[in-house]
Amino acid sequence: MPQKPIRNVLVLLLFTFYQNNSAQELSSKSFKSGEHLTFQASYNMSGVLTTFAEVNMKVATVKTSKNSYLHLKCTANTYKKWDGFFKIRDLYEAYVSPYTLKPSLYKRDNNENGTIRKEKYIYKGTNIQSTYVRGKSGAVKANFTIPTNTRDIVSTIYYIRNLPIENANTGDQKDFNVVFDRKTKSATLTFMGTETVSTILGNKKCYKIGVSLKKDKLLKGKSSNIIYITADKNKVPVLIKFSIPVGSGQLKLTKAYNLKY
Amino acid sequence: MKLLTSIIAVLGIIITIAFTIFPIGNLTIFPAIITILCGIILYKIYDKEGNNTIFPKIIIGIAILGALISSGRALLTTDKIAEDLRFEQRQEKSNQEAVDELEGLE
Repeated sequence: MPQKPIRNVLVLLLFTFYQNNSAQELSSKSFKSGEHLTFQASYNMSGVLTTFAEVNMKVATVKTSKNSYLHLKCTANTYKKWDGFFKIRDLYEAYVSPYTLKPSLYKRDNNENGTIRKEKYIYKGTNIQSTYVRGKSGAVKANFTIPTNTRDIVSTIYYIRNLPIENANTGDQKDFNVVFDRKTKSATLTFMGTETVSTILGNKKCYKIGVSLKKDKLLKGKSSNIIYITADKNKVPVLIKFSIPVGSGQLKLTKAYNLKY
Repeated sequence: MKLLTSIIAVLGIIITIAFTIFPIGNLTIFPAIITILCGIILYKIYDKEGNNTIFPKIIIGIAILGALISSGRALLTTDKIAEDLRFEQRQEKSNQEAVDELEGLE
């Protein structure tokens, strides 16, 4: 019985196991499958924050016959009290690699007071096969090119949580691309230091990260769009302050289940 | 003075009623307070002139009622989302379609 080939196979198996484990580490740095975060969305009306919707972010594992993916799902529902005036039932989903968090599929299914908007992106390298539906008109299919490492809005949120923020210095910036509405938008993250925020998880030291889109009216100015991420291993976004052309508001974490640490 | 206060009071009462109908919580208190203040000023003016004070009394009454309804609703009701079976079905359908799409990609 030749011993060397067996040893080689064992070494290869161990190496593969090690590789898989280190790759697994990549996606499971700050969250795990089963994590569920609930946020309360408020809109600023004359200086008074008025609650209007609940945003849920869930992570699940989806298996196909050959692979497994992380299903990152984000839903937005208006509260009962608002449903009679302006009903929102929005669904945003991304199916990403559990190892690299690279998206394979992105889906958006919005119903805002009866206005339907659907979008689907199939990632093929630096190309996207998109399908777009608005209102009662039929589906419009189009292909477009994106720069490398471009992600949709949902996978970007989880990608940010996996960045090594703990190594950043105040003022450090990171540029990235986001694809939204079939357009690639350049964005910048600015590390603005740490701040203690009162959250559902207690008083937490948080990383303060400014988000701004370049050459875009939406999310202009790093100081008015801020994500507060807990400065621990979970890196939970506990507070998101946003400023858009029609006003400002915030998303505040109200429930957190199945955190990794 | 009387005309200006009356205009502000009428505008205030319209905003108070609108805010009471819409579920925007404690924000109703601001127009209600302005309306109550205008109502008190108008009451004093009407009283001084010896006129019937029913108009300022109605203004004050509606403003107090609006503020109480809004504050009570904001305090007693919790923010809840409605159970939406259609939305849940949409999510399930979307997930199933996605699995098929992903199978097709492999």
